[in-house]
Amino acid sequence: FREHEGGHQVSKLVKRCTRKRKGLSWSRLFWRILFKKKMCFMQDNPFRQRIAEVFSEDGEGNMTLDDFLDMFSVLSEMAPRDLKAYYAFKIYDFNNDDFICKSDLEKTLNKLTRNELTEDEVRMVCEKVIDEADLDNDGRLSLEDFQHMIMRLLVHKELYHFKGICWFNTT
Amino acid sequence: MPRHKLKNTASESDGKDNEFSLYYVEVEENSQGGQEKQTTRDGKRRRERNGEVSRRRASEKRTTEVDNKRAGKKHEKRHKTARKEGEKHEKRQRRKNADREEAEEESNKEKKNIKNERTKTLKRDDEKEKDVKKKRKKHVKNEEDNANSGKTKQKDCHDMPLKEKKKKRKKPETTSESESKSESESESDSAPESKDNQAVGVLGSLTPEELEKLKEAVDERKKLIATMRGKPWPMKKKLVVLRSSCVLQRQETLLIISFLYYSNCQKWMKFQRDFENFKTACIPWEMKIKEIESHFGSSVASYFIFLRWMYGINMILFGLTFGLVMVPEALMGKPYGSIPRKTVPREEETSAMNFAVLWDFGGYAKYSVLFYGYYNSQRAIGWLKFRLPLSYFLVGVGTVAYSYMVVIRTMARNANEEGGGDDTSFNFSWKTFTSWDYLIGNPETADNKFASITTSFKEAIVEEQESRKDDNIHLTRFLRVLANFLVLCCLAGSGYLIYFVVRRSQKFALLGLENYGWWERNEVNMVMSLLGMFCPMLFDVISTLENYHPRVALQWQLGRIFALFLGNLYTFIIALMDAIQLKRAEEEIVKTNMTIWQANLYNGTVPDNSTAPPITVHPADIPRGPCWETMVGQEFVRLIISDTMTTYITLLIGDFLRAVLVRFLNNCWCWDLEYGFPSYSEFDVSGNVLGLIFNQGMIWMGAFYAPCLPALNLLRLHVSMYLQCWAVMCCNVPQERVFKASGSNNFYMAMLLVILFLSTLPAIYTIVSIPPSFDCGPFSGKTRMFDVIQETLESDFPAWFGKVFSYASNPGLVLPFLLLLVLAIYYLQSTSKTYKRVNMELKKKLQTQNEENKKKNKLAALKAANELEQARKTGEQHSSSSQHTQNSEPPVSSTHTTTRPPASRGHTSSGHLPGHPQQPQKNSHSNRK
Repeated sequence: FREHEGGHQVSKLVKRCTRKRKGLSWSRLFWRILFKKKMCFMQDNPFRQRIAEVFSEDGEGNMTLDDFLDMFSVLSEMAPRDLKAYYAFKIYDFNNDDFICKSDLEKTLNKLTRNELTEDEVRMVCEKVIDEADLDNDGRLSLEDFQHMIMRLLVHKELYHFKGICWFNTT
Repeated sequence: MPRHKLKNTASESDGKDNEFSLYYVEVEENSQGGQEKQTTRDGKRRRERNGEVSRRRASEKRTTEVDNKRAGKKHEKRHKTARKEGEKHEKRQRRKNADREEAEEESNKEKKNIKNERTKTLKRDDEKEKDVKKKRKKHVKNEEDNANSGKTKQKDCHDMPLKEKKKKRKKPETTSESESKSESESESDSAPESKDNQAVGVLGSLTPEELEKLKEAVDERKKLIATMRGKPWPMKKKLVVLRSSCVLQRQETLLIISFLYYSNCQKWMKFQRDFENFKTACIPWEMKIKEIESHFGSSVASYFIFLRWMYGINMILFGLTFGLVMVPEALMGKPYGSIPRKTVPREEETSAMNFAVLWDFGGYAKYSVLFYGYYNSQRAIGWLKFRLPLSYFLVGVGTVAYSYMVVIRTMARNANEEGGGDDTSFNFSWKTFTSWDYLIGNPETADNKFASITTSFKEAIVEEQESRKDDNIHLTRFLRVLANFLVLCCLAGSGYLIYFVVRRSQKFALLGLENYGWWERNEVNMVMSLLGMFCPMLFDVISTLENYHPRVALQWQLGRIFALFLGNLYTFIIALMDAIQLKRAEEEIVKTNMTIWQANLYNGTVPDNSTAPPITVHPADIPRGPCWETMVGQEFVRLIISDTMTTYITLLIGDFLRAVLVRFLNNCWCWDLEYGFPSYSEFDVSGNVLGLIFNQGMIWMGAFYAPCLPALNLLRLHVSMYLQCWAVMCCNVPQERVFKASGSNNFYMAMLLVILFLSTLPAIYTIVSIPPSFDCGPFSGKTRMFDVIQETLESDFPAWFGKVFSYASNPGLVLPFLLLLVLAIYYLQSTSKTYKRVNMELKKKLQTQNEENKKKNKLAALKAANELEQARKTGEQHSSSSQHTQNSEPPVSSTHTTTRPPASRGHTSSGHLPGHPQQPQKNSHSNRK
């Protein structure tokens, strides 16, 4: 997903909608159609389902245009760091309990590596992550832990500017 | 009403607020039409602005120059557009002012009509307005993002007329905003409502205090809108907030989004990114190497990076020899067949074009620019008066010097990088949460990314396991000593074997090789290759005893095989030296024969020693010396060719054929071939690296006698880059334990340096101590090769230069200079050592501080959690009551309204995150304490 394409899509959408509605209710567009037709960048993203869930209003992945715009405003590179961190946290928090616990981490890892790590390895990585980032010793990551971790990354890598429409690009 | 929260963001949006409040004031003035107050208000405004400026200057010193400039540029642009549209706006403005004056006299209902009118006009001028707004928005955004002071400075610099224009332009918007604001706020809050009502109602007679209050209310409103984009509210909620304000602002929200994608800033960033992409695309084979790295880990990639680096070096060596030696001789030197050294001798002429001979670099290939012997000893050639012998000598020395320089410089740079180290305190978390690149839109790239993430995880896991492992130290120590002992035995044995074989072959050579069979003739080569084949395997087995980390194990393995291969080099050099001695003996005979031949020639054909025309003998018929330099060059070229061939053939057979067999025979075999015995081969990093290094050593050794060697090597490296990349991707499997290797491996460099030194030694020895052949090469006729420098000094430079040079080369000057150099080296080394120590200490300090901080944080977090518990208990009652009061309002968004008051109702919940009613603020608050 290159950002100029994204910009194009969004601007087109916006234009179309403003032309169509003129102050009427937002037309309801389903994310599946949109995703399939418009967003090539999402097809390979391991978290696509999760992103749709997080941004959709009903929590099941059905996105209205509002949600769609919402997502783009977050994914855009002009979006503030904290905002990105907040939504990234929501995405990694698979069970919606406002904490990233071990099961969330396992899910994340399995999605990232396409289940190529063994269970022992996954368990070890989870332990390491919680050991590293958990500041209050409650065995799970809260939003603050997450934000702190991200801040450290940005300071360390001197990444004050985000590359692209990504959360935080490490490479 | 948590004002203090808003204050945090106050500095960010000050510029904007100021602007708007200013317009607001202006509107009031217009509506009143009072000119007397104008002056006083202007003064006040200016004072305020100055206050703002100073405040901002004090608080926001961290803004950079670049930002200032950018903001300034945008500002100028804005002014331009403002000027353009100024007249139109003025016209419109007059009309509106009239409207407004009427409207103020009438009641609130009529005001709505005006608003409608205004929106109509706005829609009419939508396109133009949009442009202006975009720019303004951009500007405002810039302000709030960077908290920039540039704008205000600019503002001060500009004169009143400009300001007037701006104000007029803004007026329609601001009036409608103010009205709508009063409407929306009358709906929602109680406190602002009263204020606003006041404002609308008693617009005619305002005291300064009331004005202040009004301004504050508007400020808050503006702040909310300005900071809204930074809040994690769903879009719907944002829209509701904005829509409740007015039509205009809703358009603005859309514009916020479209603006995000169409601003100059964005274009610049995009350009930067494209430029980065372009730069990466310019690095040769970067994509290939990245792909390999993602599948095979960084150790395999390090080999390819090394190969690429080597390619670069050879490129420069090739440029030097080709541009300064081969091309001048081919273009400006005497043509082929003019002198004996440039012609194929008569007895070889029949077979000179045979492919077998050419393949062996004999025949025409031998008598060409490719080899030393072809070059003429003429001091200056062509119309350029190109000093070819001097150039030949200097290029020969220069290539070696350049190689030294590059290798050492690279080593130093790598050492620097290693010294920096990286923060690994959040290694795994970063890998988990931030490794996916959300820009990836290509399935293949995505596959590679998945593979590379998996590999990096595996690498990190191996590192972690290694650091965690603590076995029986005594046992491992014993095993390591044993392994080293075994390896030493192996090395000593193979060294003795080589020595023995070489001695024996010398004996055979003295007695004449014809009497012996095939084995005796090829004994040395066979022994060498057998050793080279089996010893690495043995070392591999032995290294499993040691139980090292795979990276360290690789280094040991490399070192051991390197030591073994040194034997190879040593035998080769000995054999060459012997051959040189033989050739020189032959040369002596030819020399004496030649004088006899010449005497015979002259005696036979010219009986009288008069001034008869000299006899012309075809150069092919003139007897000539064996030219040991060309022989050496030929040897090296043959060696390189055969080495390349063996590498490629083993690659094809050992990897490709094996992979094909395993793949296709697996269906009809009695055991599982893919996971059983033969399986697919792993990429042999150590073997390949050593092959590369020794190959390069050969190049350095032979480049002086065969200028074509760098070109050949370049070709070889180029082909092997593609071939090996292909082979790795198609028929190798990743190693079992993928480990992390630094991309720029200093160990390889160190070995390269050793090889460079070892290979320059014999080359320098031959150049300095063996006299050149008498009838071939650029130095023929001189006693030593370096005499060419002496000659140049004498004939090409003024006399005083030679004198200075001779003084400078006086031992009395050279020795102190050397001493000085040694002292300097010693001093620099000791300082670097101290720096390193200080660096380590600092790092340790930082680490301990980090740990302390972590502990402190944990304590603070515990405390905060306790406080939170208490606060929640007390807060529950409060929130229930507050919710009760707000239940009368319609719910705004379905999911989040239950946990906090709707955000559209102002600034009460400005900092809240959905789903986190109070926690973030409280905690951050406590942290700040």
